Parts: sequence; structure tokens; C-alpha cells
Amino acid sequence: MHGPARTFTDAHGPRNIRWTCPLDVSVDVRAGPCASVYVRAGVAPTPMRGNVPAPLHGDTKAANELPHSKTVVHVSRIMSLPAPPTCRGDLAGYIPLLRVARDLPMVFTLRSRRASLLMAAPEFIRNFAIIAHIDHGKSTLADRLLLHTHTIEERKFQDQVLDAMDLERERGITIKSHPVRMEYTAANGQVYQLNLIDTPGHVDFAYEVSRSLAACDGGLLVIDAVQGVQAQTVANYNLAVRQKLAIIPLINKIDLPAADIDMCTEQMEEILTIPADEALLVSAKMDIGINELLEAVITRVPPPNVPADGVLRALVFDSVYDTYRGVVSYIRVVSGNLKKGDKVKLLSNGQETEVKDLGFFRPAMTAVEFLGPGEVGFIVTTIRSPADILIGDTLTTVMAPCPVALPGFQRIHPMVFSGIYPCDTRDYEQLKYSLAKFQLNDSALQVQSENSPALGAGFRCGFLGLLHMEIVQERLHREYDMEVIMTYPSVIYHVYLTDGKMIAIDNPMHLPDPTAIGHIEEPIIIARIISPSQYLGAILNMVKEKRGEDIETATVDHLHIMITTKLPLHEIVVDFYDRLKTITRGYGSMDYEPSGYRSGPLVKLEMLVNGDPIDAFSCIVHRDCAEFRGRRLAERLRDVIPQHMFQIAIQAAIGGKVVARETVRAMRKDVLSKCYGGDITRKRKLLEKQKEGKKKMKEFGNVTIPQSAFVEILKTKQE
Amino acid sequence: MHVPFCRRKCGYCAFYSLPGAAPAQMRAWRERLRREFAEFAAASAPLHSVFLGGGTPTLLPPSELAGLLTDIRAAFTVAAGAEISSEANPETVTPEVADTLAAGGVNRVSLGVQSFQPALRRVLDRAGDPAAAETAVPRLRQAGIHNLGADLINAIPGQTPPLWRDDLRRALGLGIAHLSTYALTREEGARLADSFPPANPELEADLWEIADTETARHGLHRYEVSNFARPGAACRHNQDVWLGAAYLGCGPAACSFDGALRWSNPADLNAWLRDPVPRETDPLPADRRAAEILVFGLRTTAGWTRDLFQERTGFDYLELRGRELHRLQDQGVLAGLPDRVYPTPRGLLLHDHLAIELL
Repeated sequence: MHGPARTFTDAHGPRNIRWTCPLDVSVDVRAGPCASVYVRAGVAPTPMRGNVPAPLHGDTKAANELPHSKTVVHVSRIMSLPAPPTCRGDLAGYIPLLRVARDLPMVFTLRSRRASLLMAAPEFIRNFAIIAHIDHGKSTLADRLLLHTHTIEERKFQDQVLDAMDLERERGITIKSHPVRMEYTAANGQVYQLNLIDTPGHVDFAYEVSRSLAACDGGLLVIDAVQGVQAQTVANYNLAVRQKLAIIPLINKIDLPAADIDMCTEQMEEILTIPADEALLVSAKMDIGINELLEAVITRVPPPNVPADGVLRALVFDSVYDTYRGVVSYIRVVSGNLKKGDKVKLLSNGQETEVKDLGFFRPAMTAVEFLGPGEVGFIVTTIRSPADILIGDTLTTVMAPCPVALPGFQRIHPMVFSGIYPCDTRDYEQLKYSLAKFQLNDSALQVQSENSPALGAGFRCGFLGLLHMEIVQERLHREYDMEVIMTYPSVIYHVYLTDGKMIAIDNPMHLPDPTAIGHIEEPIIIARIISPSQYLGAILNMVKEKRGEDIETATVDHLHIMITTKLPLHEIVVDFYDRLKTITRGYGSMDYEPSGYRSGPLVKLEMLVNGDPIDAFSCIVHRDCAEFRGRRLAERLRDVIPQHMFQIAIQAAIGGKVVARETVRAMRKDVLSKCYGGDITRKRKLLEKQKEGKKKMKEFGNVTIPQSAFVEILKTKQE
Repeated sequence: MHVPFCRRKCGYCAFYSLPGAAPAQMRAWRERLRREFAEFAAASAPLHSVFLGGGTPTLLPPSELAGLLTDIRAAFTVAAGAEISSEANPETVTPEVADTLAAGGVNRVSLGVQSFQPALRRVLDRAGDPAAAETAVPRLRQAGIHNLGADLINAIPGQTPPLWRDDLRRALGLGIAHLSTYALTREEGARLADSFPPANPELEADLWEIADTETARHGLHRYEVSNFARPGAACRHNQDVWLGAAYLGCGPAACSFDGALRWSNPADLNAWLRDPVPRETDPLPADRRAAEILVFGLRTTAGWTRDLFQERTGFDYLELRGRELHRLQDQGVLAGLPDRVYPTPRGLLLHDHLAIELL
């Protein structure tokens, strides 16, 4: 019953989609003059009318008895046609119908010039990611691939096409995943569908990265020819290896005068144990080595492995919120077919929904009628809340669900917590609204309302990590015009009480009385630091100061070392990364992963301003460094709290005992001396400007503290 | 009256003036001034004070100066016993100028000394002989003008407390009844504004206290943030400005207030010469205007009586800003509530703070 592979030729030349016969065609009478036609090949057809199985026209039996074969192309498409056609048979007989369909505006799938984007068999699909350390040229490479495959035109080109947020462009980092589909005609003449998934590039988003990678079969590992292997290169490489991706290492920016390819290959062999000859030499910026790279994608990345049972399994690897469409989820179809109107469900929570829309990115959203096995694209369902579609979940049909979820699903838990309060208490409702809106696009952000004695009503927010926290703050300011105060960040402590109970504390304010505490455990991370060897001593000093344990050093190459150490997460929360950058003059890089909990002598450090504790500055610290930390904080506060009409005492206290004290002296003179000539207007306007500035400060009793103090206090004092 | 002429423009100064103006410009200025007088004279109440400022009023040729004073009396009714002040650069006070002023009815002269120290004068970029004041004072007295004052600038970069004390003693040694002294301000429009180091409030507070001590020895007392006087010698004109009275400013860059609206003439002679004058107004709702007047009145040590404030603004200050006033009184920067309100000595030093609270 298998027909030969055919080449479908139309006005645009040969489209090398292979179709196998027979084709089954059925008519949906409910659609009126526009019929739905199911074209299925090589698989036992169970055509659906709407979502109800419909009787087949023609030779149902023969079709149902078709044997499965991996080499068979699975094609399953709906086309809307003006009149109910009644044709069946092999593709040759169907071509006239396709031609009719092609000219209909609503059937843009067939009107598209790039039929192969739409109808690729798994064997002609390659799904891959680009993994790299920050700034190693990931986005530039993605841009170059888009240009090279004519996915975007040169004239419409904007740097870092996939980084849609201003913040992403500005900081050169990717925050959300961006899948994009490309068409590439390989040296062998075959057209391939390439799905590139641009993954978030920071450790905070490691889980998202792992899910994006799970949607791929291969990964381009980008190494900067000047900077070489960095901590994040290692971390992402490890993630990719764990996902069993075929790795194509490439050394980027080889056009730069300072490029050191030998160093890169040596580091690859040493640290990543990748043979040097596997590396491709590329300059994404100068368009060098891109053809070779694309050929390597075809030959070295395996095609999707599609389970033969035909059951729908799709991996959700990210979601974004679109004001008009609602939740747009990015999926990789592992097996089966997904089409508009399908009743589907999510395995983690059993939530059922209906596919309202689906398609792929090119890089703009492009709707299609079907997504087939191996394809990457997006779906829009009836689910309105992003929190209901979790990253890593498995999507399947309600009718014939897959029995087992795809591996790797986790619920992600925030690691770092901080209070977010409106600068002006009147902005509370606005902040609440902004955070709710924010969460639509950032399901990792946890928000709970909270009350602070000093700051009033606000929210306790959980973040995946420091970068995540910083991004949230910056986006609140930028996109929602919210001036907020963020409290000293905290991690989750496991507090074991004397009565044997354990409570998890993410806010120093909630720490019980010391007498009720048996012991406290704090989260530990394994940090991996890569740096030029000459900074080893300085880094080790800092690591020890930050209570690092199990310190190991390894050689990366003759110039670089890698330090692995266990550190309390709390210690890296505030200024570790900034200091590392300073110590290593910007050459050091760091990555970390959680590594359980450890008991430690932890105490609450409180900061008092004129005798009142300001919870925004309180933190839980190791007893041995509490005094030092208290002194540092008091000094910082002294520098950032402006002079008032009265003297301000700043104290650091541990369990009620003052361990450090600083004073902001009272301001003695604050007056515009000169006021002659009757020019009251100008003077008043000057004063009004000052008054405006003062509104942006937060009042504690009668002390006003500028918002900048809350930000400054978290930064390292540059010595 | 703004007299926009100077021999040369000092580097620290941001007032509008034209250095080295031609006689023709001065004539055009006087001619236009007469028309500006006419514009307002009909609606004007009798003048209780006249103030010639600048610029350098005494740079006008005596004939122009005399003519100006005549023009004022011709256009307006000047109340009996009115205070008629003129600013004067000590060097310009020739016996002829002194006589012209006296003859024109000027009964109060304020000498722009700024500093007696040659080094500090260089910092200010102020030309002239520091000793000129010592000549000018007897000349003015001889002409019959006894209500004399001096202007000094403090907190000039390089000015130590001893140097400041020295300036004060030399000025007070002239037997003056009035002293104006403000800390050097970095004002937009002054040539040297950006080259001065940032203000040092601690030092300024020290110099402030020195001024209090030194003036007291000569029987002068601070009656406003930057002004000291013997009893009865406070400048009535400026007090009216601070306490919300109506005043008319004529000449380029001059500012006016009619009790409700403030306006200012363009700081540009040619623009001001045009007809009508393109003036800039500063409209403000009545309550905010009243708050503004409250604030500026608190620059004076006597501050407000509840009645005077009510009379000038139509508002009761306790209804307008009662909560803030009481809080400031609790903080020790204001005193006298409820029937009076005035700044404490500390409050005067922190006037900007209370201004921000009250505006």
C-alpha cells in the first residue's frame, strides 16, 4: 500500500516534501461550503470532525491496516476549501486540489512560499539550541542564522532579533526562550526545517534552560575566541550533556585580533573533554563559517526521535502572556499531531483545555493548522492564567492521553526572597496590579502580600536568583513606572525549633525568639568559578570570607583555573558576583547550583535608625561575621542617609545588643541665603523642585531615606 | 527700579546688567522707563519705598540719575517719609554722585563692598579698590545721607573664619546701620558659578555665627536670613517684599507683585524696550500663593502675626498650614504659635527645610 516518495512541484519549483500514498480525504459537512480535508499518509488514519472521530470515506479498512514505519512521512493537514471536494487517491491526483487551496487567502499554509516549513517529516527536522556564556555571541549567532536562511530580510534586521524585550537587548541577555523556525537547503539538495530555540543564558533560569534543551536534539556550544571557556559555558554544557544533546562546539568571534583559538581548543579538551577537531571556527558577526555550521547541524544533530504509537505528547518549554491572545505556550511535539480545536490536557495538573490557535515563529507568530511530530511551535489554549501552564509539563489529548509524562518536569521554587514595597504607600494598589501583570509573563516570580512595620503594606517576592530579582526591579521601574523599595534579600532558612518542629523562613522578620530555636539550616550552593590563574589567591580569600568549604581548584589551561566550592547561598546573594568581577578585573565568571542545606550558627542582624528597627535592612547572618557585616551596613547607611535637621543614630544590633554605631550629623545650615530683587518666583520654584525630590524618599518616623539608599545598601562598596 | 548698567560684569554675579553700556542705551532705557511708569502710575497707591538696584545705579551720569529720580516723583505719589534706597558701588560714589542722590531724595544707600580682601575679591572676579568704601561713607554722610549699609559676601572659596571676621569688622567699623551678607551662591547665569567648589554647609554655619557675634558688638541684629540692622534701620522695602506686600518693578529683569499675581520683565534690554513688554507671569492658586507668602515671610526673624498674614493674604495661617506649622514648632524650628509665627535662630538656618514643608 505504500506509494513512492514524491516531489511536489508547484510554481515556485520543486518542493521536496516526501509524500507517501495513499492519501485519505474526508469531508466535513458541518463546515458548509468550506470543507475540511484531512490528508493523512502512512499512518492509520483516525480523521476527526471537530474533535469527534468521523467515519472515513473510501477505503477505510486499507488505511487502518497500514503498518507503521519510521521512514514514513506523517502528514496531517487541514485545508479549507470552497466546495466539498471528493477526491482521494495518491498525491498526483490531489495536486490540482492543492493548487486550488494555495490560491485561497485563508489557506495561507499552502500559499506560503516555504512549504517545507509546514510539512516536514521528522527526518527533515533538526531541533537545536545555542548555548553559551553571556556575551559570547549567542544572539548575534542566532541573528546570523536567521539572515543566512532568509528567515528575516536584511532590511528588516534589527540586532538581536530574538531578544524582544528592551532589557534583553540592552543587557545582552536572553530572559525568555525564543523558538524560531528556519528553512535550509542543505548541500545534498534537501530542504530541512530547522527549529532554533534561543535559551535563557543565565544560571537563574537553569530549569527553563533545561526544558528548552529538552525540546532540542542538538546544541551549538558557543565559545568566545577571546574569552575562552567560562563558568557558564561549563554549566550550560553540562546541562546539554545531561539532556543527551549532540553538541557542536564552535569558536565564535575568530575575526577579532585577540582571538586565541589554540587556547579555546585546549580549554575545550581540558574542561569539557571535547576533541579539538570537533570545533567549528565561526564569526557570526562577519558571516564566517556559517554554511559549515548549518551543514554540521544537518549531519551531526539527529532528527527527532518520534515514538511510533502516534499518541500526542508535547513538551511545554515556555509561556508568554500576550494581551490579545492570552497565554502563548511554546511546545515541542514529541509524537502525534496537534491541531486547532483539539481537546488537550496537561498531565501535571490534569487541566483540560482546547487548542484555539497554533503555529510557529518566523520569527513573527505564523499560524498553521497542524503541528506534527518533531515540530516546535506555539499553541494558544483557553487557559488564561500562565500559572496553570507550567514549564516542563506534558500536553496530550483528552481522548487518548499518553500514559506517562515526558521526563524532567519539576515545579520550580524561588531561591531568593525580598520584600517589594511602594515608595509612596498610596501606590500600593498600583504595585499590586503591576506585579499581577508582571507574573503573567514571569511565572517563576512568586508574590505574596506582606506587611512591614517600617515600610507598610507590600509584597514578599520570590525570585529564581539575583539576576532575576534585579530584572524584576528594573522592569517594574521601566515598564510599569513603579518606584519601589526592595528589602535586603533573604534565602529560605530551615529553622528547627526546640520542640522539634521545622519552619521555613524567608524573611528575617519572622525568625522566632532565639530561645525557641534549636538550630538553623541554610541553603548551600556549589559554585564554579573560572578565572585567570593570577587571581586565584584573591578569589580564595573571598571564598573563605564567604564561608566557602570543600574548595577544589582545577586547571583549565595553562592560564586559567576553575575553583569549585560549597558556599551558603546567602553569602553570594548580595555582593559576591560584583566583587568577583572586581577582583578578577572582569575576567572571572561564576555559576552555581543548589546543593542542599547545612546547619550553621546563624543570627538575626537588625539595623536601627534612631532606635527604630528598619526591617528592610535586617538580615540573617553567620554569627562570626555579624559584627563585621553590621559595621559595614552601618557605614553604608551613614553615607546614603542625607543629613536631617537632627542627628541620626544608625545602629546594628544582634539580639538586642548593639554591635556597631554610626551617626549622621544634624544639618546646620540649609537655606538659600540670597533673596533680593523681589524675585520670589524663581526661589519658590527651586524649593518646589526640592520638595518633589523629597517625595521620592521613604519616611521612617521623622527620618526620610531616599530610595537610592535601599539600592545602594545592596551594592558593594568599591574600595 | 532695575538699573541694568555696570562698568564690568563680576564673575560671581547673576543679576542682569550690561557692562560698558553706551549713553544712547541709557537714554533709551530712561525713555522706556518713563512709559513703564505711566503704564502703572494710575493704579498705584502712594509709594512707601523706592529702591534703585541693579546693576550699578550710581554708574549713571549724575544728570541721568537726577532725571530718573525726578521722573519717579513726577509719575508716582511718594508718601511722606518714604524710604528711598539706592545701591552703590563704593568706587562710583564721587562727591557729585553723593550730592545728586541726596538732592533726588535718596535717604538710604547700600554699598556693594562684597569683601575687603584683595585675594577674595579676585576669587569673586570683582574689580575695584577695597578701600573705596572707606571714602564713600564720609562722602555720603557729608551729602546728608546717614542711613548707610554695606553688602558683604561670605563663604567665598578661601575665606577662613578669621578673614571673615576681618571683613565684618572693617565694614562695621564704618559705622553702618545695616549689613547684608549672603553666602556665595552658585547661580545660573554667573560666569564663575561652575568654577566654585561645592558649598560647605558646616563652614557656612560657622560664618553665620561669626556674623551674629560681630554685628551684635556694633548694635546690629539679624532681622532676615541675610540682613542685619540697628533697631529701626531695617530695609523697609525688602521687608515688604518678604512679607507679601505689593511692589512694582520697572526696568529689564525687574519683578513685580500686585498682591495676587507675580510677573517679571524680560532680562534683556532690547526685549524690554519693545511695546508692550513681553512679561512672564507666575499665576498661582490663592492658597498656594498664600503659602508662598507665608514661607518667604518666615525668612524674617519677626515672622508673622496672625493678623498681618490675614491682612496680606486673606488666609488664616493655621487653617492654611496649621498641621505643618505645629509640627515645625515641635521640631524647634518655629515658635510663637498661635498668634505669631517666627523662625527660631536654628529654624532660620534651616529655612529651606521649613519652606519645603510649608509650600
